[in-house]
Amino acid sequence: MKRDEIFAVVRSNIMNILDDVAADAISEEVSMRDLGADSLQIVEVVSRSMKELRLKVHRTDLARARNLSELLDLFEKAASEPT
Amino acid sequence: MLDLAPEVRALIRAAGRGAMIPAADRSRGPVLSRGEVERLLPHRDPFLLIDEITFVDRGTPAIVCRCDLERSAPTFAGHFPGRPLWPGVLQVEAIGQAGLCLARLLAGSPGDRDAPGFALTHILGAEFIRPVRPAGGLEIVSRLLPDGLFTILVGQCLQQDAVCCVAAVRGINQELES
Repeated sequence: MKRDEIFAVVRSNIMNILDDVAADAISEEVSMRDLGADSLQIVEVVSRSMKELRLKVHRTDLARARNLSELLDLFEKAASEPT
Repeated sequence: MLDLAPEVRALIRAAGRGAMIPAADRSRGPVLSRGEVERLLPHRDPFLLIDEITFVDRGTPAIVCRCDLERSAPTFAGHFPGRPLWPGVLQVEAIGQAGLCLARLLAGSPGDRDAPGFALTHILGAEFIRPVRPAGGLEIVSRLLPDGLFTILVGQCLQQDAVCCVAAVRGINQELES
């Protein structure tokens, strides 16, 4: 799975969960906190994205992601691993 | 507010129509006593609402618990004087406690209070169909549905086989630290 495809899923879920976030405000450099998400909304975005992408990443690893780029790294790595 | 998945909606609708587990099944399963429930849940009096577990279906998965309403006499005295009703919020809490018992039974060995469970994050919906009176015990049915990093519980409170309450709640999964 390509990084762009993963990012598209995450971006779509951010826009569905968070109010009033424009698509062009969502870049790899920002965190969901920067976009105004609370802790529950962050888990919701991550949970929905993993479900949609059929990925599993341990919560401890997810908690270390400081921005979307690091989250995408985790998803990309999980997508490349055999299930 | 969250959109409910069709599967959850269907379960809630079915739970409002009748018992989620037939009466014959509800009383035939393994029984865990209050002492064993205390090894699964951190709650204690006056907020431990589960007195025994009468049925566990690890396949579905679903659980049936009993609540002894005699212990709720102080609650009935105030809610309401002369017209005692068991509060709806306690019915929802009881469904949550039953679901947590089930999650811990599924995750660990019986009596493992340190097994992973979940922490309540959402009340997705609740309907209070009939009043819960002091006379007669209360049965609590709870069914678990995985939902990514969350778990959804759909449950009901039954008094004399009649559905008093249906509720759906959601909690964030707790995992063992790696």
